[in-house]
Amino acid sequence: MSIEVRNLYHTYAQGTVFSFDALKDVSFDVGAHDFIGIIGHTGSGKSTLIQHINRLLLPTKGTIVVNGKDITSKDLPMKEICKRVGIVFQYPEQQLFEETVYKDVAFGPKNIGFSEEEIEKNVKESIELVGLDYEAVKDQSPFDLSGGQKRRVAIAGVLAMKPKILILDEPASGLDPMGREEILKSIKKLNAEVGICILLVSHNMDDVADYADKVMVFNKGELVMYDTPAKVFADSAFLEGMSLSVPQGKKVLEMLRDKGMDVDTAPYTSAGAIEEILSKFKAKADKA
Amino acid sequence: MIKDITIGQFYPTNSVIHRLDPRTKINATFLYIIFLFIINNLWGYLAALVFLSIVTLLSKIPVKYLLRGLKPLIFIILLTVVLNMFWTQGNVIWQLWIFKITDTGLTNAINMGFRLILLVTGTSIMTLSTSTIALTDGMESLMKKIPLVKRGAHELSMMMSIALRFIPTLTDETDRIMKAQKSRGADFESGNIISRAKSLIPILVPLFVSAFQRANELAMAMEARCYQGGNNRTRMKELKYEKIDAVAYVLIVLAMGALFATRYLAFSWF
Repeated sequence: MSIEVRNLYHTYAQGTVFSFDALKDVSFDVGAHDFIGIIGHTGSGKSTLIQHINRLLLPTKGTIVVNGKDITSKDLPMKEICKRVGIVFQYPEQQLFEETVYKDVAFGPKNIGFSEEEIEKNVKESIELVGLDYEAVKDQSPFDLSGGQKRRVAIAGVLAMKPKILILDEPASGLDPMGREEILKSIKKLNAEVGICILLVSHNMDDVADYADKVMVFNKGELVMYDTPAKVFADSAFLEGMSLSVPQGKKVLEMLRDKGMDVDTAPYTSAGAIEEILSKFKAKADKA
Repeated sequence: MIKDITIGQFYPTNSVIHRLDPRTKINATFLYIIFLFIINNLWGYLAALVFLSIVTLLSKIPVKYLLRGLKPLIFIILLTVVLNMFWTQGNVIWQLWIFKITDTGLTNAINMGFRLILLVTGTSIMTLSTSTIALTDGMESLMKKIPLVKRGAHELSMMMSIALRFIPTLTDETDRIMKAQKSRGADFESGNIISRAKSLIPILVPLFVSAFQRANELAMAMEARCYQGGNNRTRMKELKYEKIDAVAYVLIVLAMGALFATRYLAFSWF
């Protein structure tokens, strides 16, 4: 399912002294199977933007079309939007409330009117998709789980509604490195194998570099760049001007270049940087 | 709806009223409340309204903002007015089937409505013009003068300031959780009263969980910094009465005297 956003404006507390333009003239297209990373400094409008895509916020001006349907129209019931667009908010484990994991994950699909059999199937699938043992956790209280497991259950709760577009706001924040990688890997799997369109909001440039196909850069409510990670991360001075940075691997390459080592600074992932450095050493060794 | 709650909100304008010592404002509000119950006819309420208007003007708080605090209470005020109007004995002046309005009922209803509105707006001016820290400091120093609550004065005011401090945090949290549940297809707006009450569970449970967690973390953080309540605590900003407080006290006593005098004015609709 594709997303088309045209000339989107959003002003908070319009008409008062507290009036604040959170989004200014934002337009973009997202393809049905894209994996998009969204980066930007705190207060740049990322959260405001994602809340528009499932009508938690209505635009002050502009249109949002998801799969050919204008979702700002009042005629489209919220349930229909929930079937298409799922949002995993920051710290989603704070939304858990049911007695058992099964019931909590079933909350979404039940609300949007899936049948009992469908619910059971979806719940099982999504719990397994996020890497939990269905039989082991389904009757447990979600409050007895560990932090990382809670987060997975919360994500499963959104996945169980079978959205075609999944928006995640910092899904890995506050997790240990292992949990971080596992969560992001399962998200990538959803994109690659199930074909779900992913919008990943993150402050971590490495995560965006490793997983996203395209990157949106927001600054002060404007979409300043929307391109492949290679191009976005090419200009570190530009990003630093917006209080952002380039991924670690790229930083190391740039430091080496500044110290006089002859390296190509094009790779932007950690893996790419390691490869580049190794190849340079190998070339040296071969010469000697 | 959540944004309408003005209790515990502070509206900074740096007016004369804002600069008064919190104790002056608390005492004045206390007096004002007592006298609202002493006055017994419409002249009294009109006098109180004039007094309140002058204070509002001095405080530079927009009237619209002040009246917003009444919005959540409209139902209670209307209910009181209606009950008073129809269920008071007296000379019947209007009747339809079993509903009848009596002269005393009508007078009571009007007085009651006035009293409630004046009560809420009057106390709102105090909270809007006093920061929560100043408010609890004032409370604490006043409570220290009362024999029975003297010992727990600090603890009580500490609890109050924490409770007030948590209001905006919890409203933000509620908003966030509501959004999260809404995007899981939860519906808070339709259905009958029972299904609506049920639909609050997905908000209330996470809200309670996080409120307890926050309270726990706060207690830990306070203990880690060796917080100990009670006596012998000194403070950076001592409360001090200034000249304008003396003026305010004189004015408020005069105003209350005027309110009391209205008891001797006759007022009758009929």
